[in-house]
Amino acid sequence: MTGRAELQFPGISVELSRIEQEFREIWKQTTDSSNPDAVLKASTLNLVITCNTPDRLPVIFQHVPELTLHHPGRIIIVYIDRNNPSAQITATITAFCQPPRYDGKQICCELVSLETGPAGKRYLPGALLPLLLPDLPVFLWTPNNLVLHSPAFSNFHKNIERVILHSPASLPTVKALYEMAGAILKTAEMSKVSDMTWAALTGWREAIAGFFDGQNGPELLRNTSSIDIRYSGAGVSLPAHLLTGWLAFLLKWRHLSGREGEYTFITPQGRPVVVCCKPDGKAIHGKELVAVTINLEPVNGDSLVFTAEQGAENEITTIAKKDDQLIFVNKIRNPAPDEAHLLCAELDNLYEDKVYLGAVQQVYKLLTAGTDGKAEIY
Amino acid sequence: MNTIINDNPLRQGMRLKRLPQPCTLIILGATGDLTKRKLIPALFSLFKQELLPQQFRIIAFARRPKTTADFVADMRQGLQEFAGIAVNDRQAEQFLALLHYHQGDFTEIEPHRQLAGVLQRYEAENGVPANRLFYLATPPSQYEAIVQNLGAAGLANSNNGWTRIIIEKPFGHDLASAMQLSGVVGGVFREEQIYRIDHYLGKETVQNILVFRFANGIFEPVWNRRYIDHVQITVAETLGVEGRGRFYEETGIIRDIMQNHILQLFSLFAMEPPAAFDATAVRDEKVKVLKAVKPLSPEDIDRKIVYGQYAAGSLLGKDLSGYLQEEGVAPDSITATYIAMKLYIDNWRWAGVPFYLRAGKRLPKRVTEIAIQFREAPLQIFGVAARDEIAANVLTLKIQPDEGISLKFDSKVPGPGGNIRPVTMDFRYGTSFGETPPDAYERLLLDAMIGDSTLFTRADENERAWEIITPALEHGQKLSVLPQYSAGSWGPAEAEELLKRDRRAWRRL
Ligand SMILES: NC(=O)c1ccc[n+]([C@@H]2O[C@H](COP(=O)([O-])OP(=O)(O)OC[C@H]3O[C@@H](n4cnc5c(N)ncnc54)[C@H](OP(=O)(O)O)[C@@H]3O)[C@@H](O)[C@H]2O)c1
Repeated sequence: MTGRAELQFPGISVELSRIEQEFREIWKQTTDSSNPDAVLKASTLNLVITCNTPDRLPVIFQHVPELTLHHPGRIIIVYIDRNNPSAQITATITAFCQPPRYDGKQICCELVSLETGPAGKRYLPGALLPLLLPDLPVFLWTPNNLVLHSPAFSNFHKNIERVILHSPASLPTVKALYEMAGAILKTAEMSKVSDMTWAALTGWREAIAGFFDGQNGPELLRNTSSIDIRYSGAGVSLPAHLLTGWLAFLLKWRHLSGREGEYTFITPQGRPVVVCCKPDGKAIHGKELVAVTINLEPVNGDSLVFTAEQGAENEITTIAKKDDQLIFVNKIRNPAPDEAHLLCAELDNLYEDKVYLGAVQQVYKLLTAGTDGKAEIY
Repeated sequence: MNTIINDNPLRQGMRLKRLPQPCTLIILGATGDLTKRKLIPALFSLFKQELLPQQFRIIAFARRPKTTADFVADMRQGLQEFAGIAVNDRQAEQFLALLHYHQGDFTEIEPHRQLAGVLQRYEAENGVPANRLFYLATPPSQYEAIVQNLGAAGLANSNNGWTRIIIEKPFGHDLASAMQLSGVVGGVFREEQIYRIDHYLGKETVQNILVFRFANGIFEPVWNRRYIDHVQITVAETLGVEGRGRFYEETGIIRDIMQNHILQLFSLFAMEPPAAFDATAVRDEKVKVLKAVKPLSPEDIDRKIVYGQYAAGSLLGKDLSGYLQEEGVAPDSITATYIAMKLYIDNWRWAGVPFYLRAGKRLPKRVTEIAIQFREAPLQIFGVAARDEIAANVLTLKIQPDEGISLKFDSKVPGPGGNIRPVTMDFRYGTSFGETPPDAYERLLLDAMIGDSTLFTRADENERAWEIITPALEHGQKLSVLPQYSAGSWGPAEAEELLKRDRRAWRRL
C-alpha cells in the first residue's frame, strides 16, 4: 500500500466466502506496529454502486479517491456484464488508501467488485448482504435507476437507507419521461431516493427562490402569471419539468390543462399560471437549463419580470425589472455538475427529500393527465 | 436588508449552503501577525471552497504607509508561509485581487471618514448592499478609539445593509475594564452586531461537545452528580512565552486561558440542554451555568487554587530557561504561568461534583481535553485482589492534538485467572473522517458573515467569566512568590496536593 491516493485495482480475485478473511489479512499486514506505514481503516458508510456498461467502470474507479476522501467506507461495485450471459458472480477486492492528511496516517477503505452475467443476478442479494458493514448506513448509487425490482431483491432493498439516482436530463419522448418518473416513484416506495439531476438544479432553485425572499415575496408569488423555462438541446427536459413540478408542489398549484411542454395551473387563489418548457437554440456546455423568466401580474400598477439566466461562467445571473427598468442584478454560483462532487453531496444526507418526491409526483401527474391516469408507469 | 426567507415557500427543503450575502470585510490591524498568520489563510481557504460571496472585498486598515500592491505582496508571502501555496498560484492571485489597503491611525477620525467614503463608492459602483463586517485585529488598547471613531464616521450602521463587528480576545483585562469596554462598544453598536471571538469555539472538537452530549441518547442520563465523580479540564502547552514576555507579564495564564478557553469548555460541558441550537438558546444556557458557579471565597481560596511559575528545566533533550529569565519579564514577577483550580456548580445536576481545571505553559505535552471520571461500581464482587485492579471509568473528550473521544473501562484479562485490567476504546476523528477539519477562524469568519453568533461570546457571558476568576486574579496579586515547577514537568507539587486532599489524582496525560 502506498502513500499516494491510488487505486490498486483489479486487486485480488477471491472467493465470495473468503472476502472478509482476505480483508482481515490485508489489514493485519498494514497495521502491524512494526510497519512505519501503518494505516487507519475508516468506515462511515456502505456504498453499493451498480453498473451495466463496461465503459462506466473506469469512470466509477476514477471517482473513488474523491468519494473515500469525504466518505470513507466499504464500496461495493456491482457490474452486470450483459455480454457474458451465463457468468456467475466473481469477486475482486482491494484496499484504497488516501495519503496522510489529518492525523498523519493513511486513511484506507475497502473496495469490492462483484461481476456477474445476467444468470448470476439472482445470487446478488445473497452476495451483497453479508458484505455490508454492520450499523453503518447503506447507500445504493444506481445512476440510471438500475434498481432491481424483482422479489429476489426485496431482502436487499430493506437494508438500503438511500438510493441515489442520476437520471438522464434529456428524454426522447414525453412517454419516456413519465415512465422514468414512475420508476422513480416506485423506487421511492422502497427507500429514500435522491437524484443528482435534481441536486444539480439547486442553483436554479436558489435563483428563483431569491426573487421571493423579501417582505412582499408571498404577494409576488400570488401574482405570478406565466413562467418560461428554456433548456438547451433537443428532446424532453427532465430539469425543466422538475422545476415545473417543484413550483406546482410547493405553491400548491393544480394542473388544469396542457401536456407536452405547456401547462396551465390554477393557484389556490384561483388564478391561472401558464408554464412553458421549451428547447432553446443556445446550448451552454455542460448546462441543461438556459433561462427562466417569471412574469407577474401588475402589483400596484407596476408590471414585474424576473429573469434567471445561465452565464458562460459558472453562475446564474438574476435580474429583476419593473416596467422595463432594472431593479436589481445578482449572481448565483452554478458550477457545471461534476458527478463525483454531486455524489459526495448526496452521501452527506440521510433524510427523505420530500420536496424532490413532490416535484416528481407532479411531473408524473402532468404527463399522464388525460391518459386515464394509469399509464404503464413502472 | 431585511429578508424573511423563512416565509418563502420556495425555500422549503432547500439544502442551504451556508453562503453569506455580498459584503465587505474591513480588517483593522491588517499588518499584524494575526491577519497574516490566521485571517488571510482562513479567508483564502473559504475562497477556494467557494464559500465567500460572489461580490466580496477585503479592506485592510493599518497605520503603516503602504500601497495595496505592497500589502498584497506581504499577504502573498504570508499565504506561501502559512497556507503552503506555490508561487504563481492562480487561485491565490484571484483572491489577492480582492484586497485593498487603507492607511490611517485608529486614534484619528479622518481615516475612518475616508474609509466610509471608500466603502460607499465601492458599494455604489458595484451595486452591492452596504453589508460591512469590521474585524478588530489590533491590540486591545485600540478597541475603544476604533469603536468611537467608527461611530463618529457613521460606520456603525448603514441604511442599506447590515454592519457587524468582530472583537478579538481579550475582551477586557478584568471585570471592571470588561464592563467599561462593553459600555463603550455598546454605546455605538447593538449587542446583536457584536461578535466577541474566542477561537476555541471555532474548533470542530469543541462544537462536538454539544453534538456528543445532545445528539446521543446514552450520555445525557449519566451526565450528572449521580454517576460522575469529578471532571478534569486541562489546557497544557509546551511553549513558553516565546519572546512575548512583556505581553505575558500583563496577561498571565488566568487571563490568557482560564477566563476564556477553559471556561468555554467548562460551560459547554456542564450547561443544560438548550431548547434549540441557536445563538440565544445556547448562550442563555451557558450564562446560566456560569451563574451557578459557586464563588471562590477568601476563606477557602488557598485550598482551591494553585498558582505556579515555570523554572528552568528541560524538554525533549533541550534546556529551557525559567520564566523569570525570559526577555521582558520582571526579575521578581509574580505572573502565573500555571493555574489549577477547583470549582463547584451549585445546581441540581452538579451539586457536590468537583471540577478541577488546570492550564499551564512549559508542560510536557500539548494537550487540551475534558476527562470525566465516573463513580465506581457500588459493590465489588470480584474479590480482594480485583479491588486494586479495578479502575474507575473515564470518558475523555480530546480537543487537541489527538482529536477524539476515549472511554476507559475494565475488562477481564484472557486466561484462567480472574485478573482485571483497564482498557481504552478510542474514537479518533481521523479514523472516521479522513477530511482535515476547517481552521477555527474559517468557521467563525463565515458565521459572522452569515450572522450566526452562536459560537461567539455574549457580553453577559464574558462578564460572568470575569466575575468567576476575579477572586483568583486578586488573590494572585497578593502573593509575593509563586510555587515553581521545572519546565517540562506537570506543574508544581501543590497542584498534586490539591487533588490528593480529595483522594484523587490528576490524569496522567
Ligand atoms: N497573533 C495571534 O496569533 C493572535 C491569536 C489570538 C488572538 N490575537 C489577538 O488579536 C489581536 C491582534 O494581534 P496581532 O498579534 O495581530 O497584533 P500585532 O501584530 O501587534 O498587530 C497590531 C496591528 O494593529 C495596528 N495598529 C496598532 N495601533 C494602531 C494605530 N494607532 N493605528 C492604526 N493601526 C494600528 C498595527 O498596524 P501597524 O503595524 O501598521 O502600525 C498592526 O496592523 C490582539 O488583540 C491579540 O490578542 C492574536
